[in-house]
Amino acid sequence: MAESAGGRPDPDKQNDAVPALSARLQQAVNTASAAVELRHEDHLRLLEAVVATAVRVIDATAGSLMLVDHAANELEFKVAVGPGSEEIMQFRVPMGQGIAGFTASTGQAIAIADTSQDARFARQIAEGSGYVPKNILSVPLSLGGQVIGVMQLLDKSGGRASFTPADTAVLSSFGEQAALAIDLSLQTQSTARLLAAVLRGEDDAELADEIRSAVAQAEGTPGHYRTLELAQQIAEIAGAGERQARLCSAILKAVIEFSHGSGSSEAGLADVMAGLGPGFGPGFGVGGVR
Amino acid sequence: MSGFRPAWSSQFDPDQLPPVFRDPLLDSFTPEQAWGGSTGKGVRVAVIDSGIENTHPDIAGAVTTFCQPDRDENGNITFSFEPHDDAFGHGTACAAIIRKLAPEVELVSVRVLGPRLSGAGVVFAAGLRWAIEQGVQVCNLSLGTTVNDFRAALHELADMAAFRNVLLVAAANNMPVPSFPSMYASVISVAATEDKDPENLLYNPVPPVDFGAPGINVDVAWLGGGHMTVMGNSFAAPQVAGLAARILGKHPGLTPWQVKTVLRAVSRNVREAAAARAERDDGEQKAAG
Repeated sequence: MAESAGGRPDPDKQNDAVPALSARLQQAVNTASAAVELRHEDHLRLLEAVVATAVRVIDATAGSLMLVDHAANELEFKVAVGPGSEEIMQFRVPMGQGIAGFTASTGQAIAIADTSQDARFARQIAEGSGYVPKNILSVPLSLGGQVIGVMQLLDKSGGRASFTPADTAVLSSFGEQAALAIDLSLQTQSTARLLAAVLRGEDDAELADEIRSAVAQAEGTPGHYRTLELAQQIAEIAGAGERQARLCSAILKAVIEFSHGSGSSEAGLADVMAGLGPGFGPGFGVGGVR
Repeated sequence: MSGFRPAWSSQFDPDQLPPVFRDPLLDSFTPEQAWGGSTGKGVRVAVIDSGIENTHPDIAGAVTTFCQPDRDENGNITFSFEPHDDAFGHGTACAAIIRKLAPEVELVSVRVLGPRLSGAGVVFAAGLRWAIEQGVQVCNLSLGTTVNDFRAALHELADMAAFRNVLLVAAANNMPVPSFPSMYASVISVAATEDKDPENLLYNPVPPVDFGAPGINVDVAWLGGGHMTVMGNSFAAPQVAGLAARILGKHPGLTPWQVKTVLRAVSRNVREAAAARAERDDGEQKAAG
């Protein structure tokens, strides 16, 4: 980076700082993206652990977790453990079909004690996986009043017993944990996507589209509106000048830290403010980042 | 893990169910007086669900009217009155439970769940409104929504039903969350118990769930003329809808409030409280004499 002799930034040379800043921010974005990728993997692993633990605790043979794809009106397998799990992962279930579809459409938990009483039904559910369960327990995953997915267990005690009301309650509480993990994952991904768009300097229309679609995806989830607010604030700050851009970078780091779950975002941002000195007092408007 | 019960049936655990008080006016009221000899003849029951398989042996063509609301690409609600099938088996299960208790009811299948349906909440409300406007006496709602956006619309429909003498029987939500319309005061809300005798109702004095009825590992009709053993509040609601149809068959013109009063009076725990009181009064009289 070119520095002026007097130690003060030469106004003519200030533009030289921009590519360097851009590179630094780019690096930060890459780090953030990598962190989010990792985070996404972590969340999948977490969901897998939730399903596997539910299978073990309730003594089922297999289990799966599906999320609602509203655009396609389908359920998409995210996690499957047990026999036939690899095969089943490739399938999508129409919302209007099967026990999982019923749970997703109505938000009602349902248990089937004996599928073999209905050959057509057994064929339908086993299609593709090659595994025909004797009994099924299906509970909804709900977030903010919306059904976002379904958790299903197959074959209690290898099919020798049926699922009980107690099993329904236990699986429902596992479902609550899974729904919270999914919410966090969606928010993290959305934060990173928005920040990346802002910092890559994509033009406004593109950014607006991206923000709109991210918000549409997360309709009704207050966390995403906070994310949007945050992204807009950072865009403003980054556009104001180098010192401001430094703050922007620091904020980004604080957000990444928050995404990693180390401390509260507000505390992190307060540290950033304190570290930047008097030029960045409350009058700067960062109070809106809450 | 024993004792860990779902939100929807735990209130009917013997050690959870709060004591009920006898109603001196109805102490001697019996199930025989409530529905004895009634087959539900002359009563129309709408099953708002995934459709009904009318050819199922347990249904035996009892569906006289079909209605399928849907939402077109412009967001307008359309209605089809062509005979339809059952998308899941769930509607057939509910209808068959009603028919087993009240074999001569006339069934109206309002299909609001299924593969091609979009905007489920709007479609559900449209189907319910249509059924109320048809003047059916009972609507079975083994479904509901937790989405707040529909709270007002469904509340309006629940009021409209009450004012028009249409009894809404709804399954309580399986999760401990507010669910509409089951939590409205004018609706009879039902959760599952492990009891197997459909005439064995339990009354819950602590709302919003009003009654407990069999719904845990019960044998129900399912797709393709088949049967299935299932568990869910979905299957408890039609037990109460079936009994309500029999009450209305025997006592035409009762209001939803009166039907609820009768159901309470004949609930097992209320009758037990009345019997215990009668025994005590007897003892006191003997002691005094």
